[in-house]
Amino acid sequence: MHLSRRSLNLLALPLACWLFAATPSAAQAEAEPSRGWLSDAATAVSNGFGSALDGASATLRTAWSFVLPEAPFDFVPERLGESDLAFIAMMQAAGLSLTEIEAGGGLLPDVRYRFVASREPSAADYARAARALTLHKSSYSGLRAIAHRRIVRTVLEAGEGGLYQVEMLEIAVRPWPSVRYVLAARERPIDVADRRLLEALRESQQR
Amino acid sequence: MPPATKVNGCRPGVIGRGVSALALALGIAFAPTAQAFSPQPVLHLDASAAALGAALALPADAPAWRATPDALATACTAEPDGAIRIALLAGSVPRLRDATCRRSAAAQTLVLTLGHEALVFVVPSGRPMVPLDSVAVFRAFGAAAPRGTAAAAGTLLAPAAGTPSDALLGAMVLEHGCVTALPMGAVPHAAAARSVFCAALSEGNNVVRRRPGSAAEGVAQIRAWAASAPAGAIAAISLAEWIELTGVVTPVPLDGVLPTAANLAAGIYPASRQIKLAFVVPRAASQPARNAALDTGFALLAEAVIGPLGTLAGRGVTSLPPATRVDARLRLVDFLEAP
Repeated sequence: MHLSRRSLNLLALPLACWLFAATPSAAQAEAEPSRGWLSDAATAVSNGFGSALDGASATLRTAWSFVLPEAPFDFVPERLGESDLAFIAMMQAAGLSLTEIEAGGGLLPDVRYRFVASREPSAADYARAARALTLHKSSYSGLRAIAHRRIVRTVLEAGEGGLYQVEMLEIAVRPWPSVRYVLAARERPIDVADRRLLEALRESQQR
Repeated sequence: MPPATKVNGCRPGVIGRGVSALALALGIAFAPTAQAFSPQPVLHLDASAAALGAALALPADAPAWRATPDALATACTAEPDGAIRIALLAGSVPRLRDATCRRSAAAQTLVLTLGHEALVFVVPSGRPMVPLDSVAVFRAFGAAAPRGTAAAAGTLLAPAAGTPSDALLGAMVLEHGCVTALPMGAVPHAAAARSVFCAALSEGNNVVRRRPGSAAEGVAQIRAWAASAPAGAIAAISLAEWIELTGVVTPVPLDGVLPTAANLAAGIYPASRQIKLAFVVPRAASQPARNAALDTGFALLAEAVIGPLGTLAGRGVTSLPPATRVDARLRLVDFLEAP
């Protein structure tokens, strides 16, 4: 069977792609003997187009990341950058703790962070958060840092000295950035379950 | 009562006497009203700045300070006589409170910073300086800290109870260390309960509270402590006391920041707070009332009060840079002269 150079190339390209998807390590490749002319040809083509395929693979991975759900592993605080950690520290100073990370989605991946009030913020909490904000301004720059400061400043302005405080804050980073604040009255009636618990406690104290 | 006038050498008649009597009666009847429209501003002294009231020397004819738990809230309450209110407080004035005040009191507001109050951790001069952080201070000296967690805890000379320095130690140092070091479930959720829980100092023999007394007595106590302090001893003192004892004690950084004037002005030193003067001027305030408030405001912003050698500096409040002090006076003039 005679194969022209053109038809060999056409055959080798998909094969090279397949080989790239399951590329053995360099040591394995050296140790294993040649598996015939087809394999050798494919290796040669794959070497020739190696760099181009690397780029294509990166593009492919990026394309997949737009389609496949996000992995939560990439968004846990341990994997975040210094600027993001400074933002979380500012939120903690203001009494808001990072409680949930939602990652998922399909065609449009979805990642959101949820901060919940871990304590009723005091004047000292707000003073500390304001101080952290000042330090953050002198340490971090860029649009991301500006957005972080804007969020913390909003939390402070909404809660400080008012009748309401930020009870929950949700920040979406994918598919597009958005922020949602939930403000709750400082003085509000307790819900039914809490009231029952309180009454039970009172009764037990009376006994 | 104006004297009865003689007309052509005649004695005052029945009509003259009647007018005088009427004038006297009207004077008595409307005396309270005339006082109600007094142009003098009303001065409210917040509980957070109660110790500073005496330092703000005012002219003899100026009204006295009225102590109140929340001076800004009191000043922002609409008053029927429309008097101008001036409030002295420690801490910040949130934008929301400012906006609410303008609406509730139908007034314009101006908030000026007079200086900063700070707590300084010191060691006797010549001793090694060990940088401190809020968590380490809480672990070593906080009553709520689990025992045995402090690494090489020394001793602390704490401020006298109820002083501004004590308030700063509790709110800005111990409480921060408390919420950072303890698990969330171990710290009270409510702000007031948390403040009491976290700010309590250890009852052990590693904490010695200073006796309450005058400024001179306080300085003498610290001097005596510095002369006999064991290794690892630190003292929490006010900025004024540190200035008085330069050379005797050395400040140590808290959370990596030293209590320098620049750091205090930038607002990055943790154990500090601003001293504020808030003016609440009803839109209906008369020009004489505005003039009187300007006089009082100038007396409060005089160099003798807010300058580096002023009475506030003597109470441990750092003075602002000269340009900022001048700017504060100009802002007050602009504010009170604006229609």
